[in-house]
Amino acid sequence: MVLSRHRTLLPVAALGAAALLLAACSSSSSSSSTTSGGASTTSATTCSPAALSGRTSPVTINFWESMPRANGQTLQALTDTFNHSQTKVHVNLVVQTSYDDTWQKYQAGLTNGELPDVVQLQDTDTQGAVDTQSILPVQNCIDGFHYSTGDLLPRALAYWNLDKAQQAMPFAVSGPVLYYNKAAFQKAGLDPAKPPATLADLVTAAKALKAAGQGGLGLKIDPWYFETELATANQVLVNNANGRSARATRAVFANPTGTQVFTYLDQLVRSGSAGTNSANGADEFDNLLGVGSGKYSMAIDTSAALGTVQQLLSQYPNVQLGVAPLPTVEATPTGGVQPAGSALWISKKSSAAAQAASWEYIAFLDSTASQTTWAAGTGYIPLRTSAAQSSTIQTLWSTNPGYKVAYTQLTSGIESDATAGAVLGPFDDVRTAVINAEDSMFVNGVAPATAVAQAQTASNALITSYNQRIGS
Amino acid sequence: MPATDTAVRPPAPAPPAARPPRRRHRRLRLVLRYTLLSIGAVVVLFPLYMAVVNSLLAPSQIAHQPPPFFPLHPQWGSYRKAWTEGDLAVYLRNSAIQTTIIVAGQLVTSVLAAYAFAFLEFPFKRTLFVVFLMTLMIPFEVTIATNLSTVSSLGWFNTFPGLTVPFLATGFGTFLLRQAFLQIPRDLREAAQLDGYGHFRFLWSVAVPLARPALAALGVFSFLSAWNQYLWPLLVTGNDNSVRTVQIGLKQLINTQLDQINVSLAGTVIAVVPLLILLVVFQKQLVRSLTSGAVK
Repeated sequence: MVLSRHRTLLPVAALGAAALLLAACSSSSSSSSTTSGGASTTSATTCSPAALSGRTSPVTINFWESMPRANGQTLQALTDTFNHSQTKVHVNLVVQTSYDDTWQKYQAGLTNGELPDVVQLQDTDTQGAVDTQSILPVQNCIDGFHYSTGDLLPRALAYWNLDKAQQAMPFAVSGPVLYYNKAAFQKAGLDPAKPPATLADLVTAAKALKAAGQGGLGLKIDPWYFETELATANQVLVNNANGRSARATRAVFANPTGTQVFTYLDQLVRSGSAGTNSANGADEFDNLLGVGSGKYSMAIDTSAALGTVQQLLSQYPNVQLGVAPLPTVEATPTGGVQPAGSALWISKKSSAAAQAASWEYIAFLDSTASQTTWAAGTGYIPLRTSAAQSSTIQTLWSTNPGYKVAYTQLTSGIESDATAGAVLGPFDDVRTAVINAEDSMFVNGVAPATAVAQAQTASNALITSYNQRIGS
Repeated sequence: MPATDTAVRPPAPAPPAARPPRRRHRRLRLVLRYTLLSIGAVVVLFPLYMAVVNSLLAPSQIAHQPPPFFPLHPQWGSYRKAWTEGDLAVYLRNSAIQTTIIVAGQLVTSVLAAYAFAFLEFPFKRTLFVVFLMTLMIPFEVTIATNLSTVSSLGWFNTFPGLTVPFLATGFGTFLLRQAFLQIPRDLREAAQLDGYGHFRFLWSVAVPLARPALAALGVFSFLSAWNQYLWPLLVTGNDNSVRTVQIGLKQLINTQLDQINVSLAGTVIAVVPLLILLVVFQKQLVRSLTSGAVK
C-alpha cells in the first residue's frame, strides 16, 4: 500500500544513523559541485543533454522501484516501452520489496557505495533523503534540460519542492478516499448518493448504519488521515512552513483542529460504530475486507488501492461499492488534500551521463502518455492536466467515477504550505507518536485534547533529537 | 550427556507396573497429559493451519465472517501463481545454497574452536573463551554497517560469499560444542593418546561422534537462523535476483495487493515447508540435545 511504514526497528534506526553519519563525512570531504542543503541550483551543467551527446553506446542506469506486484507490472511495461523507444538510455528495473526496504537499502548503500541511479522513495522519507546529502535535486535537470513543469499538478510538485528547489519528481501519487457500501446505506435508510462529506456526518452515518444492523466504519489507525484532515483545514503539521522554508523544529498540530479530529475519531471508536485495525501488520486490510464481509459499511483507505478493492469487492454480492472524497473536518474546507505517495530521486554519486540518462527516464515516466497509462493501470492520480484530459482517462472516469475522486481532491482547494504536505526528518516516529496518542484515547479513555497534546510533546522530542543527530 | 546415548538408541520406556490401582492412576495421568499436549498442539498449529486454509480460498471467500475453517473448493492455482510469479524456484535455490554453506561452515569452525577450548592448553585460554562468549552479547545488527563495507570492499557484494562469510563462525556454536566436548571422559582421551591418536584422529573418531546430538542441535539452529535471515540478505544483494534469498522473495510476494492475499499465503506456506521437513527429520536430536545436560 502507499503508506506502509517502519515497524521502528532499533537496528535499522542504528543503521540509518550510521549511514547518515557516513554520508555527512563523505560529502564534507569530497569536493562536490552541489552544495548540501538542497537549495543548490548552481550551474545547470550538472544535469543536461550535453552529458548524453556524442556517446556511441547506451547509458545503463539502475532504478530501484518499490511497487507491489500488479503496479510493478505496469511500471515494467512502461520501462520496456522506454528502453525500446530510444537508444541512448537503458533502464535496469530493480524490484525492491517495499518502500521501507528500499529506504533501508538506500541508507545501507551510503556506507558501501551500492546506490542506484534513480530511486523511488515514499513521501515520508523526503527530509531523510535530502539529509543524506546524496541526492541530486532534479531542479538541476529541470534547468539543464529547460523542462517545463507547467502541465504537472502544482500540488504534486509542491510536496517535493524544498527551499524553492524541486528535489524529486512526483510519480505514484494518491490520496485517502472513503469507500462505502451503497447497499448497506440503502438498508439503513441513508441516501447512497450522499456519502458523508464531513467528519460529523461520518459519525452520524456510522451510528445510523450500526443502529440499522449494518456494519459501521472500518477505521485503519493511520496518522496519514489525521495529517490529511489538518491539510484540508489549511493547518500545518510542523513549523517553518510545514518544514519547507527551513527544517522543521517542532510539531504544531495540538490546535483546535487537531483536537476536533481526535474527538471525532474518539466518538467513532468509543460509540462502537467504528472498528480499528493497524496500518501495518497482518490486519492491515481488515477495514477493506470488513466491507466485503459486511462487518463494516465504510472504510477510509488510499485511492491507489481502488483497482484491487473493486476487483475484490465485486465478488461479494452484498457489496455495491461507492467511492467518495475523504470526509473533512470543516463543512467548507479552507485548505485541501495534500499529495501522498512516492517520487523519483536521482543520485548525486552517479556520473553526469547517468544523471542525464536518469532524467530522460524520469521525464518519460512523467510524460502525458506514461501518466495516462500509469493512472489507468494502477489507480494512482494522473499527474498531468493533459493526461487527465486524455480520452483514455476521460473514458475511465465516466465509466468508473471512483477513479476521479482522488484527482478532484488533489486539484481542488488552495495551494499552501499546509496543502503541500509536511516534511520532517523523523516522520515515521512522529506517526508512531500519533498512533500511541490515538490508542491512549481509545483504550485508556484519555481526553482528545490531552491525547493530541501528548502526541505533540512526543513529536517535539523526536524532532529535536533527530535534528541534533543530523547536526543542525 | 551419557556417552552411550549417541551410539545406541535409547531403550523404550519400561512397561508400566502391572498392579491394577497404580495402573489406572497412570492411565488417567497419561490421558490427561495427552489431552493437554493436544490442546497445546492445536494452539500452536492453528495459525499455520489457517495460513494453509486461506491460501486455498478464492478471493471471494477471503473476507467471509466467520472465516471458513475448511476450504470447500480449494484453489490450488494460488500455489502455481506464487511459484511462477514469485520466482520461488530461484529464491529457494539461493536460500538452499546460502543455508548449506552457513550450516557447514558453522559446524566445521565450531567443532575446531570448541576442540581447542575443551582439550588443548594454551596461554590466555580463559580470556579468549570469554571473548568468544562476548560475541554472543553483540547482536549482528550492531556490526552490520562495518560488515557491509568490508564485504563490498572485498568485491563480494551480491555474491554468495557476501551472503555467507560473515556467518561462518559462531560464538554460540563454539560454546555449545565445548560444553559437549567437556563431558567426554578424560579417560577416553588418555586411552586414545596411548593408542597413538593425534588431535585430528581423536577429534573425528571419538569427540565428534560422541557429541553428535549437540552437533545436530547446532546444525538445526544455524539452519533455522540462516534460512530466516532477512536484513543482511536484503542489504547485501544487488540489482538482480541472482542471489536473493527466499525471505526477500516472500516479502515481495507479501507486499502485495488486497486481491492476492491467497497467493502471498501460498508463497509463505511453500517457504515454510523446508523448515518443517528439517524439524521432522531432526526432531529427536533437537529435543535430546535441548534436554541433555539438564540432568547430570
